Amino acid sequence: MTPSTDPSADLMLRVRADDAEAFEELVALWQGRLVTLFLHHTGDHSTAEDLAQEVFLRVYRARGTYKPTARFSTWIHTIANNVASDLRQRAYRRLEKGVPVSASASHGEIGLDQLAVAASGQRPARQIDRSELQDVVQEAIARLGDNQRMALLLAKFEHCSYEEIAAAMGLTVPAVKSLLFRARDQLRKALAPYEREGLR
Amino acid sequence: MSGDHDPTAGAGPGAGPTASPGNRADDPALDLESVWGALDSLPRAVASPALTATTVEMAAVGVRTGGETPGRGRATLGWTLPGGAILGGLVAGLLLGRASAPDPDQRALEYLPVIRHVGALREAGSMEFLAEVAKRDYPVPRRFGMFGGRPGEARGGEGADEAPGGSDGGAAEIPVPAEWEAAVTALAGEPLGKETPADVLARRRGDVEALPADERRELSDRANEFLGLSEVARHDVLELARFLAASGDGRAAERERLENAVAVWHQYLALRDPAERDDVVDLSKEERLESLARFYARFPFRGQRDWDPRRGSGGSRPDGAGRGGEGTPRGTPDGGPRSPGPAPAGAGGLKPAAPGGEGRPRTPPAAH
Repeated sequence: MTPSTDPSADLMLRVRADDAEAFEELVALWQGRLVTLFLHHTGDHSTAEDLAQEVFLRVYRARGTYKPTARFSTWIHTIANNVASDLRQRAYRRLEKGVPVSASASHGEIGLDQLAVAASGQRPARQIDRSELQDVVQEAIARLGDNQRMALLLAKFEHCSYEEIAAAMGLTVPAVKSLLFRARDQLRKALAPYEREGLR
Repeated sequence: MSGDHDPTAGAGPGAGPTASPGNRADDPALDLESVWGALDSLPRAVASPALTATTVEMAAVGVRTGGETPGRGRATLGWTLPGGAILGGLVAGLLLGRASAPDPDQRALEYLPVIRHVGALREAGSMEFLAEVAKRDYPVPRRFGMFGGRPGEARGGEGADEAPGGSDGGAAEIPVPAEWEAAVTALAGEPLGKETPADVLARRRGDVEALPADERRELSDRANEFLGLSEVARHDVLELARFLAASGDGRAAERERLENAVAVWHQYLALRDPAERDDVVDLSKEERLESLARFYARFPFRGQRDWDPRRGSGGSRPDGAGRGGEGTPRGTPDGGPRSPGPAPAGAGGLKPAAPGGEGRPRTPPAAH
């Protein structure tokens, strides 16, 4: 890869050389994307900003090890996934200690099937407006497994390829395909009551 | 959202290009287009305006020495400390991003008051946490038979389970931890960070140089503690410190509210198993609040102030031994122990039907 094909990699090389302005530019360039990723991963904007900040700080700490052999996006997505994994592990540890975990950390406790049933029971199939659709989709995403959710968000919002998702999440490409297929299938079930009449 | 999105981006390291649409994870041919399309309804987040600045500052301030990986940048920043370094190698991490720093101690000296009182600040948590505790108006918890966190405040014997000020309605002293008071005193009016004038840095340098060896070691330990904080925790500590440093200019009322919250939290910690305290301090804001809420839901009798301010002081104890009294200003303990009343599930102890949604069962956001 030549630096000119990846502006973020160019910036990161400058960060590696302790160019403070480059780090600021890099943060400005990526913060919206990371906050969006974590917002839909955790369901909370404040937490999303904290996690995005953690990613940038890890990027900064690891700047000396950065090598532009991979796309910068893959590198930062890997860090983002690690940050999300750490969040999950801390939540599990707290659960073991009896400390209450957050809503997002217990997403998996309610299955998508239950959500679909609940949705169909509480809301008859009908046309729904965009804000309501947002709520429904967010709720459905929140109930995906953590890996499913991250893979889905990387694919949808970061436009990652299977290979890029696999690299970021430390999985094989078939595993990513499986994750995404199951994620979409579960979302489809959850959204079915709305899809019949409301979704595109 | 800006960025370098490339919809035809290649695969990760070592993999071949994936420009082929059929190889993309969002390939519509994979079916379920409508579900995929529904995801477009989700909003793209906008980061807070201050996020870039705080991130850059935290990176500059907070990279741990031990966490640094050798790289090209280290040499250019001059990581080798000169012989006159007053805090030893611990300050090296504080110098990150400050190639122009006149000497390796400056960064540490800029934040010296924070380093000295990092324990109290860390325990207090964050402005956001303390403000939320203050809003909930918890009474200061305590054990039966003891008061406050400071030895001089302890009261035993008869009336030990009464609130300070008790039935006589006299002014009661909130048992603000001594460590917090020391931090407040030390930070008041103290410049922090890059704005610290040279004469203040010189004074701080002199203070440190005058310390005996054991106190300097203790200061180094605190510097270690500060450097060992997570980035988020360090941000919270600095925000709190900056508030205290600037709180002299007409912010006394707000500071008092925070101090009351500090007292509640400190006393709550004092009631916890000592082995658990560090873990509890490390909890995120949301977890701290939930932990407090659960405590007040389970042990309302440990409260000192009436749960519902509209009732004035002297709430009823669970045994019915309620006590009358005059209403007291917010944050001042009044009558005897009382029940905080029924707590909503999952958020016990919240004031019912308070403005702004207080008292609603809260669904905490993601854990940290």
